[in-house]
Amino acid sequence: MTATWLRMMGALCVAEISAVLALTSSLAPQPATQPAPDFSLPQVHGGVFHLHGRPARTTLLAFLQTVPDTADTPSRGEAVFVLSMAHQYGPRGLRVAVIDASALVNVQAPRRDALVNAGYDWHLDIPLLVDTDNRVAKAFGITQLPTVVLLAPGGSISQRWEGFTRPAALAQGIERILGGPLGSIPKIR
Amino acid sequence: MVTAVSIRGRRPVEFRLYTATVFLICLTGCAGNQSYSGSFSPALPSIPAPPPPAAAMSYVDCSAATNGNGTQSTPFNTLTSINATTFNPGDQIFFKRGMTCNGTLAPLGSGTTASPIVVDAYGTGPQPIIDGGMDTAAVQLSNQQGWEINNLEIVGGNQYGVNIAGTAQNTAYTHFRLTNLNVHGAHYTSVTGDDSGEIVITIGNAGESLNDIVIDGVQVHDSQVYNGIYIDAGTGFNTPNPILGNNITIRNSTVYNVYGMGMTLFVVNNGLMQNNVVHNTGQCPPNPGCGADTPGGLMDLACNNCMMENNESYSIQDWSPWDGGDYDVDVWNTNNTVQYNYGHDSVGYCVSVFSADGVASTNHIIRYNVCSNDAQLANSPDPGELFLNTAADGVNGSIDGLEIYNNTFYWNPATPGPAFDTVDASFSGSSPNFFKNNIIYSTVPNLIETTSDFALDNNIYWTVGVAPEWNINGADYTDLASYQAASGEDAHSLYTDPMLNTPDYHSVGAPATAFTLLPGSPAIGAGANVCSGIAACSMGTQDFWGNPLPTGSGYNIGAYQGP
Repeated sequence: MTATWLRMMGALCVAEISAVLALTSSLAPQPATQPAPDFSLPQVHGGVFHLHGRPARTTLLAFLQTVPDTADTPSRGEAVFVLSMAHQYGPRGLRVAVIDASALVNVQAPRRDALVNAGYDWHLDIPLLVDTDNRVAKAFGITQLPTVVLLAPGGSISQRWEGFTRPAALAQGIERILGGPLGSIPKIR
Repeated sequence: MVTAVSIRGRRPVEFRLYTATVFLICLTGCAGNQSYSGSFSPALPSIPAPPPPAAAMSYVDCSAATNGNGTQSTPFNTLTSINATTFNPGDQIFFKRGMTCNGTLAPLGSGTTASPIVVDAYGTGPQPIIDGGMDTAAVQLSNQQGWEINNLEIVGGNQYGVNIAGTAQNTAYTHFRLTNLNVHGAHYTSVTGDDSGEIVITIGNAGESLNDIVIDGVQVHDSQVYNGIYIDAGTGFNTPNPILGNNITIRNSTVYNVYGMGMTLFVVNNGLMQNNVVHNTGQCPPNPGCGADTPGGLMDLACNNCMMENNESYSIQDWSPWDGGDYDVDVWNTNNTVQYNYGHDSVGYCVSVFSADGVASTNHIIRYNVCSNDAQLANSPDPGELFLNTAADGVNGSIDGLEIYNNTFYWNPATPGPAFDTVDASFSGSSPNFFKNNIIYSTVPNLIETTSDFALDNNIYWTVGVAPEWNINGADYTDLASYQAASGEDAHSLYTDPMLNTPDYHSVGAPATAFTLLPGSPAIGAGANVCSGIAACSMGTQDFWGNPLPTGSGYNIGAYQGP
């Protein structure tokens, strides 16, 4: 066996092992700096959101309680901040999505039309995703709402915030990946 | 989300059922096998309290071809039937999503805090629209309380989008919720001041107050009326015994493109404006203008225990030469806090404190704010990132207690002037007034113009491209040492590059790394414990970015306290 063949076989083995890990890892919580589990979820207003799409993009996922959408919850305030991140960094390539995780705190999973209405009532102009049976929330190890997860373009979890998180903190994490603040040239010291 | 539920029995039917039930109980009890000794005194069955009337649900679909009786299957198709109904606690009114009702929504009746009357949407899709057109208001409640209005788009109105008004003397109106509304397009043929607005909640007669109000997740925008959100919650603010409205909150909301003021709390105890964004207010055309009022972003007026925190205000415009600032702690205020806010690119100040009319404005805190590139109006009479004035109405008041600390200012005005300006302020009383642990990073010479009434220390001053200037007690100093020696102030302060990350950032959106401290910054650990020796004083728990504060010592100068 040549060294090249061995390297190829090794690479294939690694790829297969990675695929298995991707499947099995979908059942286990993902800490920060670990690869994020891939998923595709339907959007309440149509279309499908693919996490590991092409081209690879920095992605901010917000797991929120969106139903009932008039409830006084930290998720309501967090939605405002997440939306501001989309407006502030979207032109620089940030992708932002809200994953409804209401069933983690409510007795029943919300109806589809309730999610549709939440998108309108919260003035969301970003994808709102339907996570049936909380499959994705469980894969990300979500135990409290709100939780916001920042993913690097390579698919790894760059940062994770549990609980109500202010926009400056979110923006700091985003800028570590996107590089540099908006609106000015960083001074070289 | 509303599930399909048929209308419950109305009051007369329930009464008849109750009566029959009582009769049956009596029959059953009376027929029991019991023996008695002595005189016969049968025990009467206790009469159960009548059940509360079932809440009524009324449905409105203005796109329906014919008018129904208000059930979901046969809804009303105009606002007329709703407006003719006096609703009771717990009742609900549902408007169908995706349709428009023309006219004013003015239902009657009052709910309670425990059982409010709720207006909401049903069905699936975009919010229902109430289009007030040229009516005075699109939504009107008068001398009512206990209402919650959710998930509507409210358009037009000739003076108001939403008007909640009380006119009965000695009445405390309680419990209002406005949630997830989109309010816009109101217009006023004569905008003369604060008598118009997209959301105006107000009372005005002796002894009245408004209490327990929360405005949450509301968008107000694109309007030709003066106010975005204006709440006047009490009366007698300039009397010895004012009546303040209690517990008023505006949060998670946005106001933009209105003619005058963004958000105002007036005559309030325990007020909060939190997590809001206000921008491009003051859009009234200069000719003929909008009267003597002066626009701004967020304002507290005659407010006790009021707080503005985690807001962003920017691009505030102005047709007059006064105000046009981001955060206004105006006259007759006590115990206000302005913290964790970002203000930028407005024609006036970032933060102001005013007083007038012989009244002392007392015990305010301004801390952990980031202010950048304000005072963009040339030759403004209200200059400064931080501006104080105690003769706001031409009659002097005073300030008694103003703590300004751990703020970061990027000072780049259209016309050179001081970043911290107290020259028009008088002080009284014995509460501490100080300016400590702040950073002023300036492109013009003028850093401060103040008096010995203020204690200044542990600040960092820096100018780029120009020589610095401090003015205290009317005298100018062009070097820090001379200013320190002559004034006795700023003994531990520095004139040096604070080494800020991107100090000229002034874009929309909270600064993330901008204004944080670079490694080796002279601001690191150089701040004072400003509460030392002051009873009941706390420096708070976090900085602008949410980083926890040191305990007792080791504070940085400026708004950044992180690693």
